[in-house]
Amino acid sequence: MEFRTCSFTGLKIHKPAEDLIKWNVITAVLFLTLGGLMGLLIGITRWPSVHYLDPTYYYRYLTLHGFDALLVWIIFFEVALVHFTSAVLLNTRTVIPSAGWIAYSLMLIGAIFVNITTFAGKADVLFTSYVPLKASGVYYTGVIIFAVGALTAFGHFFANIIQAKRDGAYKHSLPLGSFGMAAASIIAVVTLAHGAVIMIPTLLWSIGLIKYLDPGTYRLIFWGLGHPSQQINVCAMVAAWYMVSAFVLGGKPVNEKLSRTAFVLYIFFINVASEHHLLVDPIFSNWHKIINTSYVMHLAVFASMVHAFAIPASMEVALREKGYTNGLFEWLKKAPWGNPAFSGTFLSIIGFGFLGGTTGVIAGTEQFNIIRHNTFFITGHFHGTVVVGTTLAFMAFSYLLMPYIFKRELIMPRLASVQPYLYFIGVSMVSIGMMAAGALGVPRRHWDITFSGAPFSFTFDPSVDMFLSIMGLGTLLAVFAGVIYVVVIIGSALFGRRVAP
Amino acid sequence: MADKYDDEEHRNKIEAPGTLALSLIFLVVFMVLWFLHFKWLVEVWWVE
Ligand code: HEM
Ligand SMILES: [Cu+2]
Repeated sequence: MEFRTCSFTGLKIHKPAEDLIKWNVITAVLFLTLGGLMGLLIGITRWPSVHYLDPTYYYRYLTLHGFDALLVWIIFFEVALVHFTSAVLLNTRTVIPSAGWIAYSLMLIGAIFVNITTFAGKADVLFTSYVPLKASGVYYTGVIIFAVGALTAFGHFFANIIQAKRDGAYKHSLPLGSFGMAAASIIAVVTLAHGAVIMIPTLLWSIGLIKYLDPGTYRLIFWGLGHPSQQINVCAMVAAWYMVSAFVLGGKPVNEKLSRTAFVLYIFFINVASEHHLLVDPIFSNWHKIINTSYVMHLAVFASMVHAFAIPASMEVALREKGYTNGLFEWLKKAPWGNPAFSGTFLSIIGFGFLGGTTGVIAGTEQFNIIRHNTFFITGHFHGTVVVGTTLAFMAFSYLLMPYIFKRELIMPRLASVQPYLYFIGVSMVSIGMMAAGALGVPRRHWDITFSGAPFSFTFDPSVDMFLSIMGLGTLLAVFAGVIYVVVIIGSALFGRRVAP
Repeated sequence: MADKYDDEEHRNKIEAPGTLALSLIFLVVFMVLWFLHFKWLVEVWWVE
């Protein structure tokens, strides 16, 4: 029997889709574990009173942290979402499951190449691998194989929805969760194409077949990969928000057309924001920079604001329908705060908006960017977007996948229900500590902010130590909550009590 | 999905007053924080 009916959602689940989702989720979580461990080590290195690693290992583990957490964990999870939204959510089958497995294997092989080379000390180039920093050819080969796998996986999305349309699985347009992942997949194709354009010559350069690569050109094309891939994350995260609201509360978008329009705005405008990585480079003219940072950026920000209003509103409408209609906020009080899928989603929305979003607008403003570029402020900003936002949203969604896809109950449900709160507080401390220190000028990617041995002495404002210590304490809390997450998810997948199919 | 909230009767009604109130509260808090932060920035970078 190829299909089963989920007893919680009534969705018809195709067995191959289910297997692909399981393997992608578990692999994602394993790489998050590795990335989180590296986060711990570099986090306590940037904590001045601990300053744990020596410089070689600091840069090596920083490379791995960026790669494993930002790319491997997130993209494997997104591939799970690809299969969830293009097959399961449409009550239909996944076409050519073997393509899904090829994609999975390529991504895994690529990730292993990169990890081994970096651990071996042959690629201390940070995940941006800016030339003229040079890694072993195996590193770039790994990145390319990973990207080809990811491209295949996102391509699978389109194959599935075309087949679903032929099978009559949906009539006019895709449900919102799938629509969001469609936007993500479109952006993914553009993004990964940039990846190929830049990584292939870099590979040839590293093995000596090309003599010279221009660093400015590298940065320009690299950020065509680096920034849009963050927009894949944003679309996938927002899609997960809508789905959790629908599954946990029965929430429906208050105005579906508006929400769809907001996704389309992402496709058109957010890629242009790649330029904010190059505002201090001489590549673009002032005209370019001003149009980009003063106008275009805000169209993408506007889209996020639409979602940030539409999703809590859909939750409110659903809870009001359940009868919590007293006053303005009874629905909020009576919301299922003990359900980690819900609380994780809500905290992700708040954190993404207020820690990641607002600071992104600040850092993306040309005049501010000049003083914030390459400071710890930037690192604080993106731990607000990609960790409190995307990572927490994916964690929340995976709590739903346990019963729906793995057919297991959560082990240690009490611990699971506090996990999102602990993680939120921990990463918020990391993010705020970094941003405050960065606003005082502390650089990112820097092992020695005392500049010992430098010909000129320089000291930061003394409050910097306090902010970096807040970051250090937050690191411990975030890692603790991360461990709970990994134990609960892996434990439930292996040993959780089976639920009726 | 679109049916329920897209009809005439619902079009101009605030369906989620709590969310609207929250948004306004956050807006005010954020503006205050922004100006405090701005003042701090000015002190850090330009006052010596
Ligand atoms: C336990 C949670 C985490 C902690 C404590 C943590 C801590 C840190 C620290 C201390 C840095 C180094 C910044 C520097 O010295 O310049 C860093 C960089 C970074 N982190 Fe995290 N992090 C965590 C989770 C994550 C996650 C889940 C992601 C991705 C989804 C992520 C993405 C990144 C990226 C992309 C960088 C930049 C690397 C670079 O500059 O090359 N982090 N993190
Ligand atoms: Cu960017």
